[in-house]
Amino acid sequence: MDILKQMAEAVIAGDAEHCVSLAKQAMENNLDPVEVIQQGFSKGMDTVGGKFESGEMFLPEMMQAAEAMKGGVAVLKPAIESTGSGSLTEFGKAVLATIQGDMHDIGKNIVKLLLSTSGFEIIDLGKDVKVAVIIDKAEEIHADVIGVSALMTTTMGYMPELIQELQELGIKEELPVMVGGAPVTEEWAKEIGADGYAKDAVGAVRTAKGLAKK
Amino acid sequence: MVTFWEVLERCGKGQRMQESDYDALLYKSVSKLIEKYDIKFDPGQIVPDDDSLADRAYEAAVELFEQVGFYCLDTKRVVRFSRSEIEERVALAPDTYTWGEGKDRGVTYSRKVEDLRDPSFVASGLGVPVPQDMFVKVCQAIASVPLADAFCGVSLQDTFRGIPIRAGHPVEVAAAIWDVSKRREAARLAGRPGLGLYAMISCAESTAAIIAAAREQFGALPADVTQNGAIAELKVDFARMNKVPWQTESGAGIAGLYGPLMGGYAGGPEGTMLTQIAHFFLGLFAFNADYHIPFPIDLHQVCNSTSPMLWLVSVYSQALARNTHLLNESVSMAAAGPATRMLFYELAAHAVTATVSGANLVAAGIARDKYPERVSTLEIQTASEVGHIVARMGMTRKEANPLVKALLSKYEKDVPDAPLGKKFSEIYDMEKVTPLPEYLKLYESIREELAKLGLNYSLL
Ligand code: B12
Repeated sequence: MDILKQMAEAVIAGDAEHCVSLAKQAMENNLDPVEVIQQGFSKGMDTVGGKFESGEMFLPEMMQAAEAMKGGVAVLKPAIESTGSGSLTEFGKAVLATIQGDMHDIGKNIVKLLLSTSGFEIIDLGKDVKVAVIIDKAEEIHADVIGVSALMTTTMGYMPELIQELQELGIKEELPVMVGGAPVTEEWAKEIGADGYAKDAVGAVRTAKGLAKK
Repeated sequence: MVTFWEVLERCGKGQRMQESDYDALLYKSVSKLIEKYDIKFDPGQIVPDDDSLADRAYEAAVELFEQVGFYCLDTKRVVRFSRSEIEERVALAPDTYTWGEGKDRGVTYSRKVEDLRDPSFVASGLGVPVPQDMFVKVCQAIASVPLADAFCGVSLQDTFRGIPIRAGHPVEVAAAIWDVSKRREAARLAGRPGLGLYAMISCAESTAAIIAAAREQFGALPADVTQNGAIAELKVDFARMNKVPWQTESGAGIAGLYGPLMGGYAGGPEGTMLTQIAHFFLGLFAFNADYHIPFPIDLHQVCNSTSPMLWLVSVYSQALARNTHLLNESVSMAAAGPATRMLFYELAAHAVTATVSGANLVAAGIARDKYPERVSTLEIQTASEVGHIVARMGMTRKEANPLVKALLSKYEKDVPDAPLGKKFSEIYDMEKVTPLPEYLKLYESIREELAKLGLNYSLL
C-alpha cells in the first residue's frame, strides 16, 4: 500500500503513533509535506467525517482520528514552514460560536472538529456567546469566516442581529457569516442575509472553504 | 446526605480540567466499564429479560459517576461523590410526585420491572414551536388526552408582541408569563382546570423568566414543575443551578432533564446507557430533582425509536427500577411527523419497551422535535393506551421483545427519511378543537392493528 493510503488508514484507525511514524517516513523520502497532508491524512479525515455522519463512527472516535492526524501534521509542520511550500491553514481563520442564550454546542463542536482538520485555524468562542463578542473577535483577528450555531427558535433571532450589526459596522463584506443548527434552514439563512449555510458538518466544511476563498 | 450547599462548595474545589479533557475522560471511563461489566447491545434482545444485565448496568453507572461525577462549566471543575454518598442520596430521593390539584390530580410513582400498575402518563408537545394564535388550542388538545396525569404544552414560536422571543431578552420574561397563563387556560378549556404542568414553561428557560412566571396569579399551581437541564454529557452550570434555591425554598417541583446523545461523547448505545443512568445522580446532587426526565436520542436521527435506542431505554430503565426508587419519566422521541402510521408505531414501540422495563411515560417528541406545528394528539393517546394495556396485561419483557421487534420491522428502515406528516391545523377542526374524521380513522385502524398484535384493548 502506498504511504498516502497508509496515512489515511492510520487516521481512520485513530492511531497517533502510526501517523507520526508515517509522517517521518514521508519526510525521509522527501515527499512534499503539503501534498502528503492533502492526499494522505486529510483523505482519511474525509472518510472519518462521512462515517460519522452515517453513524458508523462515534464522536470520540472522530476526535481521536483528528488528534492522530494532528500528531502527524505536527511532524510535517517545520518542513512546511521552512520551505514556505504552503500553509497548514490554507483557508485561514474561522471564528466559531454557539449564539447567545444557547447551550447546545455538540453540533458546533462537530463542525469545529472537521474544520480544524480541513485547513482552518479555529478560534472557538464556546457556547452562549454574545453577538458583540463574536464580532469583536472576528474583527480583531481578521477572520476569514464566522460560523454560528443556534438550536433554538429563541436564539436563532440573534443571527439576523449579528448580520445587521456587521452591516452597520460596514464590515459585512470582509467577514462572511455561515449559519447552522437544527432549526436553521437554507431559506431562512438567505432571508437574513447570511453568506452560507450547511445542514451538517461535512457540508459546513464545503461552505466554509467556499466563503474563505472569496 | 450531601446537600446542595455542599455540592456548591465542591463546585469550587474539585479537580480542575478543560472541558474537552472531561469529554475524553468520560469516554475512557465508559469504554472501560462496559468491558469490565460485559455490557453489549444485542439487536435480537431489544427488551432484554436478563436481570443480571440490568444490575451490572446499574453497578457500572455508579462506578462511572464515582469516577467522573459531573463537570461544572463555570469553575471548570470535576465534582465527584463517593459510592456511599451516591447510595445515600439515591435512598433519600422521593419515590412519588403529585401533579396538579383536585380531581385532576395525577400521581407518578416509582415502578418496578414488569410492574402491573399503570405507568403515569404525561401528554406533551415538548418544544414544538407554534404561533401565538394557535397556542391555546394546541395546548387544549394536548391537555385533553384522556389518560394524561399531567401535561406540557408546546413552545411559543418566533415573536411576542411583535418582538422576536430571544433567550435572556426581556421579552422572554413577558412570553413566559403569557405562556403559563395560557396553558392554565388551555387546561380549563379541556375541562381539567387542575391538571398539573410537568414542565412549566417551554419557550423560556432563563431563571428570571421562570421565577417571574411561576406564580399562582398567572395560573401556575403550587405543584407545577420547573425543570433544570443538564448539559450533555454530565455537565452543569450556575445559570441552570441558580433556580435551585428558589425551587427548594418555594416548594416548586423540580424535574431534572437529561438528553444524552448516542454517538456523541459517551460513544455507542452501551456507553450512552450508562451515562443516562449517571445523569439521574447528577440531577439529585446538582438540582435536588424530585423526578427525572430522560430523553436519550440518536445524535444523527434525533429520535429514540431505533433498535439501539429502545434497547438503551429498556436497560437503563430496568437498571434503575431494580436498584432504586427514582422516578423515571421516560420521553419518547419520534422521527416521523403527525398523522403518519410510522409515528403511531414509533410511540407504541417506546411505550411497550419503557412500560415493561419499569418506567413512566412522557409522549412525545414528534418529527425530530423541531418543525413548527408538527404536533398531534391521537398518537400520544395511543402511547398512553398501549402503556396502560401492557401493564394491565402483565406483559413480561420476554413477551414485549417480539412485539417491539414486530413494530420496529414496520418503520425502522424509514427512520432516516421519516415522513414529516401533517401540521396540527391540517388534522384538527380548529373551531371545535377536535380531530378531523380522517385522522380519527387512522387512529382507529392503528388500534385494530395493535389489537391484532396482541394488545388487549378491553382492559382500558
Ligand atoms: C441534545 C439536546 C439538548 C442537550 C444539548 C447538549 C449539548 N451540549 O449540546 C441539552 C439536554 C443540554 C439541551 C438543553 C436544552 N434544550 Co435542547 N435539545 C437537544 C436536541 C434533542 C438535539 C440537539 C443536538 O445536539 N443534536 C445533534 C447535533 C449533532 O445536531 P445539530 O446541533 O443540529 O448540529 C448539526 C447541524 O445542525 C450542523 N450545524 C450545527 N451548528 C452549525 C453551525 C454552522 C455554522 C453550520 C454551517 C452547521 C452547523 O452540523 C451539525 C453536525 O451535523 C434538540 C432537538 C433537535 N431536533 O435539535 C433539543 C432542542 C434544541 N432543545 C430545546 C430546549 C427547549 C432545550 C432547553 C431549554 C430545555 C430546558 N427547559 O432546559 C435547554 C436549553 C438550554 C439552553 N439555554 O440552551 C428545544 C428548543 C425549542 C425551541 N425553542 O426552539 C429543542 C428543539 C427540543 C424541543 N423541541 O423542545 N438540549
